[in-house]
Amino acid sequence: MADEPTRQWSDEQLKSDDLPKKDIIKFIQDNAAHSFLNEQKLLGNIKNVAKTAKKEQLIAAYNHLFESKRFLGTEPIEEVTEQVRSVKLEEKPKDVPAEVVDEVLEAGLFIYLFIHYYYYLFLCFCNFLLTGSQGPPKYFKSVLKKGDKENFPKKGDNVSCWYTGSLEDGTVFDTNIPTSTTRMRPPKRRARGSSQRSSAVVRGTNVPRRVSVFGSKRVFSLSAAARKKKQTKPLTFKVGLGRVIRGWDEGIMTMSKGETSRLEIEPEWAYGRKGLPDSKIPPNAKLIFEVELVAVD
Amino acid sequence: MALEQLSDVVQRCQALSDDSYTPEDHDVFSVSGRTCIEEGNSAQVLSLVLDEKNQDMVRCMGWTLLPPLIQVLLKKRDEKPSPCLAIFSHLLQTCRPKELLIGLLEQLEHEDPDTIAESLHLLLNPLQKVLLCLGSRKASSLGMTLSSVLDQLAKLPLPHTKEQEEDDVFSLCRCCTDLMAFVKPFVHETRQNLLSSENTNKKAGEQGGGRAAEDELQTELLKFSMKTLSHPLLELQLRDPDTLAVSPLRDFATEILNTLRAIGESVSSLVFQPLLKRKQVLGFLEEEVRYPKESLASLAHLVFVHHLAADSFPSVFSSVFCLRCNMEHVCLLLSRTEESRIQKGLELYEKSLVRLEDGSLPADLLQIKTFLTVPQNLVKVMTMCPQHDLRTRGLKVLQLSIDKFDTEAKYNFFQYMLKTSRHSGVEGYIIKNIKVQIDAALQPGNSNVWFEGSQLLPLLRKVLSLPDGPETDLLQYLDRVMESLNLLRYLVIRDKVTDNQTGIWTELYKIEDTFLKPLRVGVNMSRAHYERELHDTRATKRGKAKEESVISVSVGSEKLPNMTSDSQIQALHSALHTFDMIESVLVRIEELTAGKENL
Repeated sequence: MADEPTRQWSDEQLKSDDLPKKDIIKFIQDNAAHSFLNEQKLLGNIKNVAKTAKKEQLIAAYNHLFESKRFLGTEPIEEVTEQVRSVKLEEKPKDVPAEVVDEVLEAGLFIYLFIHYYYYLFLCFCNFLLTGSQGPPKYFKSVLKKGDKENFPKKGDNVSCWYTGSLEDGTVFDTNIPTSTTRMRPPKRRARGSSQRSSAVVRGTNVPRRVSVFGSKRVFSLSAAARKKKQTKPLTFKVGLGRVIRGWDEGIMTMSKGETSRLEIEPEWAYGRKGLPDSKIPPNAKLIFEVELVAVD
Repeated sequence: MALEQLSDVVQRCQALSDDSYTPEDHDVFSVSGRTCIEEGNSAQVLSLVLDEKNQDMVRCMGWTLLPPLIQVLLKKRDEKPSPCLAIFSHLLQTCRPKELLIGLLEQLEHEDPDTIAESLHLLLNPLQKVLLCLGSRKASSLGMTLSSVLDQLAKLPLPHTKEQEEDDVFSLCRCCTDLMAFVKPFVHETRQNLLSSENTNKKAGEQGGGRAAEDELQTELLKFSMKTLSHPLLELQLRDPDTLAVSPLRDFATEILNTLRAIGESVSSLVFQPLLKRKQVLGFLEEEVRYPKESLASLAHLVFVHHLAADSFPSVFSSVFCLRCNMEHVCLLLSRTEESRIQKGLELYEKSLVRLEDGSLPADLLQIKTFLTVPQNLVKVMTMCPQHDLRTRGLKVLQLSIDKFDTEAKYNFFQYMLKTSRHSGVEGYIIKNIKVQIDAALQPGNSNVWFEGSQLLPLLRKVLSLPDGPETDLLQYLDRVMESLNLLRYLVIRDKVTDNQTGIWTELYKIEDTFLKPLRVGVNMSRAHYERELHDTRATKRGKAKEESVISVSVGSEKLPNMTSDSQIQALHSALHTFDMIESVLVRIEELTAGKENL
């Protein structure tokens, strides 16, 4: 700690009118412990102290200081905090304290998070309502031909479709599109072992609307006239009521009239672990459908 | 004599025009003609009939010769083509179709199966030719013919085994094949009509999506198909290709399905019809008449069990939807008493269930009426059907159906069955299932709210109770009582007092009062009673005093003999043994719960 301060003035000098009160106050404030100043009421602005304190008091305090030796540094912590506090109050009387600012910021952040959290919950809830509690969709749709993008089927509507269903290995297990080998030029021979899908366009007087090729078995769709001759009708059913496999219910409701899409449906939304016994669909089969939505009631 | 008469009348009529023939002429012609044919002078008749000059007369009156001709042909079917056949053919070509039709139809009706089979074989082809000559007005005549043919077909005995079908002693298979050939051109015509009417509709512009008023021919063929689905198809046991490679009956069934498709009826719409609200078709028949429920059930069976026309049945319908629709058909079939119906009902139910994963059916399905009626019908089958195989199968299907429900549905189902089945054996079986479910719920990781804790208690209370208190007839309710005791014993062993996952320990004091105590009383009472009976019977036997029994039992109007004393004693012993059994389980339970009750 610092060395003890020494008397600066003698008694005569102190009593003299030449020595202003301010100097004594300053000396004491510079050298005395905070608690001493507090007791002697010598804290604060020198001018103010000078107004309130008499010279006799100041001299007494001066002498008392040296007697009690309660100099600056003998009570360090309190002093520092007091000094800081008093400095602050003196030097920035009109600013908002930093703590209050912090609190406000904290509150704002909290509200912000609060809102976002509950919005997130709300979105989850909406998703739940719309899609059920089964998590992500178990089918994948790729649009082959766009529809009118206006007429989307609602739950309970009658829909009519042409479709072809095949397994992952390309075996066609079902279709309601009549097959025909007449009126078509046979497609080019493919290399053996090739199992890639391709879309071949056959030109001729009877241009079919669409030709799709699945693996080893070929299915051709016919023109409208040829279809009529074969007297088959598109499959008609009420969508969204669980009458068909879930992949169809969900997928078709995202299609618009006239759209042709490819639906790849996971087994969970098709025939699951059992498949269709005694039929071409084995257990845990992923099904691939090409569906043309012809009409929406 | 007859021949001369015939020649006379023929000659006389040669000069006349056909509207001046008198009724007398008709009579003489037909009577004398018949006599000639019956007497074997058909060659002469043939020459008369073929004579150019007589054609008007033949056209007018020739059809009256059909009855004797056909009778002769039926009788002499092994002989070489006789003049009769030639006369017959000529008449078919010459006479008026309407009259020929009447003559031919009359000759279809017989009583004995052999003649029926032969007449069908002989006459279907001529009938077809005649009908085709009727032009656009053939529909009602076709309907009449088909109705008559099916009536006759119904009189033929059906093959029951694979060998019987192969042998075809009563020619049912042959008749069915003939019938399909008969119907073919009419089906083809209907298909053409449909196509052309669709085209005209399209050209004229769609009118609200509805069809034009339905073709009469279509209606008749629909009626025919529906009728065959009921008989003979619902009665027959079709064999699958691996059992019987060539089966005319299976082909027949397939053809019926093809016919339905050709006349514009979608097989899937028909099968799912109970759940679909069809648009009112401008047809001639009411909906229920048009699609008889039994025929639809038969169709569902052909599609789902025999997989006929599988290639054309869409593979996109969900398994639950198929089950829901088939439940209606199953309900109908199981509510009947004929063995064929019950068997097909069970088969259809089974096939619909195996498509589903275990534990996948939700509880709200039990809101649907058929899901409650069908189990009740199953109970009837299991308890009252005379055929042992069907009873066993019924039980198997019941268990299969239980396995497909999820836990909540199982819970509700068990409650329902306990309330309604009114049969101790069935109740016992359900209680066993409850035990299985509780056991499953107690496995780590399988916990569910239905077979544990507070939800389980109401169910347990129903199970652990006596129908009539201490006076319950323990022998009658043996199955149920034993299963209840087994369940209780299982619970006190499996569920530790400290865990009390099932809540049994907190309920135990109540169960003691409502179940165990009255049961003990009942056992003691019954035992005392039967011991008394045994004692009396032994005394009676020793004393050889003949006792007239108060009641007698007769089966099929034959009275059964009274039980001998020995049999009676045996029965009483077995009853006493039963009470011992019950008591032993009671004691065991007491041991297990001693001291642990007051926790």
